[in-house]
Amino acid sequence: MPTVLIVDDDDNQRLLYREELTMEGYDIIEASNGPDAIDLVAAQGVDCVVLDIAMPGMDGVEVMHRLHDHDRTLPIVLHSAYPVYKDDYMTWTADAYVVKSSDLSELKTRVARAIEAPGAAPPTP
Amino acid sequence: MEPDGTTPVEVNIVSGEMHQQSGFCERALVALPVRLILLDADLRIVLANPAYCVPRGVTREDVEGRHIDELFPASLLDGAGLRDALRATIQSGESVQWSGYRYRTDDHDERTINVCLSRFFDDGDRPLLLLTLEDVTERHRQLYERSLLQQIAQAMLGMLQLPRLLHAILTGMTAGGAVGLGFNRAFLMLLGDDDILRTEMAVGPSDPGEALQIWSEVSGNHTSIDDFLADYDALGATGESRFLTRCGELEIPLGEPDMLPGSVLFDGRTAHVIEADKDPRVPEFFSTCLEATEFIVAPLIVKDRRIGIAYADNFISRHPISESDKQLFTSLANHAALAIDRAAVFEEAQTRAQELEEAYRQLEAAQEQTLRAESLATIGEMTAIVAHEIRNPLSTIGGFANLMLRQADDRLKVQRNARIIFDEVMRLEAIVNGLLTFTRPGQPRFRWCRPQDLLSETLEMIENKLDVGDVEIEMTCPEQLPQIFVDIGQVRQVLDNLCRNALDAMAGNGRLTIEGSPGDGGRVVISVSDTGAGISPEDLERIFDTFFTTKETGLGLGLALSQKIAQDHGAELNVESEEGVGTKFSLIFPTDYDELLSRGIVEVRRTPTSPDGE
Repeated sequence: MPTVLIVDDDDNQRLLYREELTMEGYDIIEASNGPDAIDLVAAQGVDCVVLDIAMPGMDGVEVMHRLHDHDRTLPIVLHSAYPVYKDDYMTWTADAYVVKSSDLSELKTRVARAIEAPGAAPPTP
Repeated sequence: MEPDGTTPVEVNIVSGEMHQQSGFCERALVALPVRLILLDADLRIVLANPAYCVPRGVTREDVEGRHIDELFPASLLDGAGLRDALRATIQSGESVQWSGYRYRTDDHDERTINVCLSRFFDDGDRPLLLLTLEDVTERHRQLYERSLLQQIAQAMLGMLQLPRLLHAILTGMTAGGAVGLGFNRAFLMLLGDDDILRTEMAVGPSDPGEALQIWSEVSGNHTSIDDFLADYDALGATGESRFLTRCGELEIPLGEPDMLPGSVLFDGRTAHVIEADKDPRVPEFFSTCLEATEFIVAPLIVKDRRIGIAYADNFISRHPISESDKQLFTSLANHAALAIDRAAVFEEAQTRAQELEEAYRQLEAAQEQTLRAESLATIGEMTAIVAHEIRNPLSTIGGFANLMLRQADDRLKVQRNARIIFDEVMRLEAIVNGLLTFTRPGQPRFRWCRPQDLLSETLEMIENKLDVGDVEIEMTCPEQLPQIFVDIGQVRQVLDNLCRNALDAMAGNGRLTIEGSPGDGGRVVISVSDTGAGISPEDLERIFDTFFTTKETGLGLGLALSQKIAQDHGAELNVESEEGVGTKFSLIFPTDYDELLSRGIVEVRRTPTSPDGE
């Protein structure tokens, strides 16, 4: 079972994503901040990271770059309430950029795709 | 008659003393410039001196024995009451002196005289009247003219608006009845920047009938120049007449220095034209337009500046223009030039003032626009942040609701999800409430207030409402602090927020100090200090940002709101902090009225300028 790392500072949102993604059949691990997320990835194999951007301390974009410094092929789905980062060149290297919503179907689709074809170019929006 | 025109004084008329000095007396009588007449009780001439006889081309013999009625005009004898005075003096012997008496000669000439009358007796004890008459017409006229000029100049003095001033000048030139110079018609031309003379205003009836009508209407009610000027339309300056129409059309370029009317501006002297059609200085169009044979034109010049020209004539009455008329007119023109120049300067000053006012108004409008734009930008920022803050809870609520649909059979999960939804909704409500505090339900109510009172209240609030733990509370404030102009409710809100933050930072141990102190330029500083954990430099930068919080349960609106309140008061909210030592927040209020005014905190006329006014 693929392992998905959920990184988000909001406890309730982590719980929500854990519930939903578990129903998709993934093993879930969680981190509530950037440094913890980096440690977890270094410690064990992770097949996909669902990464919140707006976090206190290290934000999601920086976490992504650090993770990619170690492993270019690691699939990362950026997950944010802000739509504006979509056009930020710093986020191009993400596999997907999903805007947070009550409807999680897009998140699930993107995670599935990212796992199937790791390192593939992000689909054009 | 002696060769030098004297007549030997007859011995039997004069007293003995005079007889002895008859040579002297003769000479005195001749030399006397005043008219001297001796009359008997029947008012017949006994003696008349050469000063009386010679100008009349008569001899002593011609007049001796004649009755005074035959020689003196009725206006003097009856109108002025000379006859009664003579009779009274003959009876009572009381001497009489009149000065400045006016009468009209048979030629309709107005004269002013001084009269002395006394009685004495001849050696036959018959009463005789000694009458002297001194003609002071000339002297009086000069005095009168000077006073007239002064009155007109005085009337012009206060006039800074050109139309009224021109009207005053023309009134001075045309008013009769000893109020003005009495010319029939007059007009003023002013020189434009293009060196063209243009008629600005004219006064004058077209014919004697109209003149008579105007003057009879006017002279009844007006006895001084001020009366005339009060009645702006009295002289028909704004009415219709051929003269007005004609000279209103005149536009004369300042061309040849020899041709009237412009020539007076070259030689600076009044021109008196006696026969217009024969005078080479008069251009044909000018004499055709005005039709007058005799007229005068005076320059209006101030230092070297040519202002214009003044024209006057006696077209209706055909009264010749005398030398003194001309001099008076010139004097009036000089005064007029000064007054017109002054009015022009005033008008320019007014225009300039209006321009400045307009520029200021535009500046104010621009400033308002900038402020509005800034606040819109802030609203935009805020909205983005708010939208983000709301979106998170919303997506959580939606997500769990969605999950609930699929976990409907798992009671525990349903409960857990419902609980989470409820918590997130609470969070949203708190956000909305926090946002609403940014909007003021009513207008802020600013009042002057003593900082000491504010701090005492805050101290009370801390002790009553807040959880102080073991924190030591200290309050210091000098008595002499100036009052501050604030919305008390809002300032209390800020102090409440600052105190809570301070207590949170100290977690039950330390010292909280609220302090009032004087600042620069009369400002008042109110500060809240704690000995808590302090704020890191990175956080310090963002501490006033909306939704920034280091607390787990904080919304991050308190300091942002406090800063906004400070701004609305024209005040500053500053922070100093050292990690591990403590933090100090300072509110700095201005008290200078002008500064408050310039920041829009107070409005002129609605606010007392000091705490004691109201």
